[in-house]
Amino acid sequence: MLVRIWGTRGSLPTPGASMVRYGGNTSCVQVTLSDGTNLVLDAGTGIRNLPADLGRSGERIHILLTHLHLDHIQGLLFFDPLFRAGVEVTLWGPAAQGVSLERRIGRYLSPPLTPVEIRELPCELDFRTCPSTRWQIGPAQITAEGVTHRGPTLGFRVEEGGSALCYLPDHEPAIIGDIDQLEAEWLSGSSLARNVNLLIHDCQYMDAEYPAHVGWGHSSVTHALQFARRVAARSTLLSHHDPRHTDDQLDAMLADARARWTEAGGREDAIAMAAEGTAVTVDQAASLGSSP
Amino acid sequence: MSTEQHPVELIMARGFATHLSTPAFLVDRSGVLVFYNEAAEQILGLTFAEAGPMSPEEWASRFEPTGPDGRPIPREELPLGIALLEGRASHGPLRITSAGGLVEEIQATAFPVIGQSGQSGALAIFWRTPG
Repeated sequence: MLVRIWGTRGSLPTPGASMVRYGGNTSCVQVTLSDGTNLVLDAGTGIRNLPADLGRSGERIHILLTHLHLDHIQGLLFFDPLFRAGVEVTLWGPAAQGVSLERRIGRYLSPPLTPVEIRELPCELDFRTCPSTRWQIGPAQITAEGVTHRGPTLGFRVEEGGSALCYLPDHEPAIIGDIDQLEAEWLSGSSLARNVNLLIHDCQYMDAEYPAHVGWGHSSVTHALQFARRVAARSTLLSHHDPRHTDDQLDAMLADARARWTEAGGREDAIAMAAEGTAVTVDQAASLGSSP
Repeated sequence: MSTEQHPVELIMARGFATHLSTPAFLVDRSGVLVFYNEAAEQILGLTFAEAGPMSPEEWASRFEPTGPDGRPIPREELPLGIALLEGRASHGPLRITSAGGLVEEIQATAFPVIGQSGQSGALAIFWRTPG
């Protein structure tokens, strides 16, 4: 299972000279399975940079949306395969009572917000609500579960060949209580992330910023590290960077996170900041290397 | 850690209850008492940390809920039982007995906790009856 990061920014795309190394595109992660099947986790603006030939050889593309906040769907309108006839795309997303996923996404993909409507897309687009039980895509087992964020939001666990990835880009487990003290059944995301080889987790705030953002649905550095430790993740990519955080600030956050992680007995290369272009092979001992 | 996570709406219900200053009592889909808050601890006479999760039989026998006249009420007819078993809100006066043996007159309002995958439990909020 190969993971490529195409968008790391939370909330808002952030172009600019001080955002070049970690990137300014919003959430998007490509997961390539052993048989070549591609899963795209979230459709933020990073989705524009996915390989241009995706879907050309007839394989179905699966886009899995954690939730429908704009920073996770804004790239849909600029995803080339949606504009190619014959390309098969399945869009998976969270359930909502009485309103279909297509209709909810259609609120964005329709005038006056966009010039294009869903029915105008020439690809073969299929909308599916994520099941509440584990399901199969290609050779991978997928589990989706609700997690603590604003509005209905899923996290994903992707398992293939004994390796596991957990994707929790928007997650505030600390909203319920002290992450170190909560019993496992009350720790949001714990079942999804338990013992994964690679955890991609929300780390939007510096610790000093969090008190002013309690309840906004995101985590601080401390919370991300606490969560990673509680679930025994073997390696963790910190993501969903705040749009105000520059490369230098993210470097400083990473240095701080690594110092605390190693002080607690962890490996320094088990923690990294997600950066656009990062590629990680998720195997039994994922190592994340140095910062960009 | 091998315990499965509760459904997120139950986790959020616990978070909500934690921040209430009115007593709140949370059960899961099978009626197991999974949490009550600090305000409830004052009425029930012991902390949730001391009590821990309880089966429906356990919590019914420990807190002995009855009608205002002292007659026993079957668990399925309590506001919490109605919310859990019938999936609808319910309100009513009750008498409960605290861990210290003190009889408390309360009003309980219960509602089902229903998430995207169905009902995952019920939450009861209660108040001491004035007077």
